[in-house]
Amino acid sequence: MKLNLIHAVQKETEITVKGDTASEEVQRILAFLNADAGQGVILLEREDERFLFSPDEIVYVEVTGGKTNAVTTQGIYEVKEKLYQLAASLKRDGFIQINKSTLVNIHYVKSISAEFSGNYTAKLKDRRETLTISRTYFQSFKQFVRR
Amino acid sequence: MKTLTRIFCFGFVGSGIGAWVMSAICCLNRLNGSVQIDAMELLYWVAASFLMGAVTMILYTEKLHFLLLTVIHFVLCFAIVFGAVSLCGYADGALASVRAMMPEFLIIYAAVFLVVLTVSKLNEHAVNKALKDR
Repeated sequence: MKLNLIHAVQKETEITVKGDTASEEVQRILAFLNADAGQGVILLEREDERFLFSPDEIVYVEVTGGKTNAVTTQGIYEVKEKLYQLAASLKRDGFIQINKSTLVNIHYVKSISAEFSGNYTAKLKDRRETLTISRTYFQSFKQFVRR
Repeated sequence: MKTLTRIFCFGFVGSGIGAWVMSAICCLNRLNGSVQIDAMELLYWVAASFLMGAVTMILYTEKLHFLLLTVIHFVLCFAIVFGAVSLCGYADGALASVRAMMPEFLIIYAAVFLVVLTVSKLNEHAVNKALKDR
């Protein structure tokens, strides 16, 4: 890996990663940046194109049909990482697991309602769809919201 | 192996709760001069408590509706207690046992279900308040 450090007088530090963005090395760099900054970037894919997103733009991440999809404010994209990896790396950005296959960005949760089934339904800000918070994950969700 | 460990954990918690109930019954029997339970009866009730504890595992299943799980739990626990009552010879016949046990079971389960629903509503309120305050 070639590393270039360029001194520049500017307010915000700029990082450019040039190379195969799908490679393990780039993924590691992204994971490192995410872990270090808490508010990093995440690599998403759609129709063989790759995009860098801020976690702020992701509403929720869901596993459907064996694929991990990130539902963003700009559409649905595929994520290469597993749900448990995302749960760990995105925790500091406000993401919490609410059922076996879904992580939600707490900033997009408008309200919840208790269901007769024992589960809870989460309503999202400016979105029609609702998400299920299962009984198993509810206590950790509650603690996460109230901290 | 993990499931077996869980069954034993839940079972032993059930036995632990059952032990307190049995101790209370023994104390009451002693206080009012009733006949004390023998070792076999104690064994049946410890086993029944273990099974009821193990059965409680189903309440943690996410695939089924909580009301359905409560009904399944009710049926299984009723069958376990019915078995223990029959083995201990407390009632004259199966029908008499069912008649004696049913009201208590219905009251306990209705009360527990109401408590669970109330707690859910309180949780909903607390989380919505926290979300609003964020």
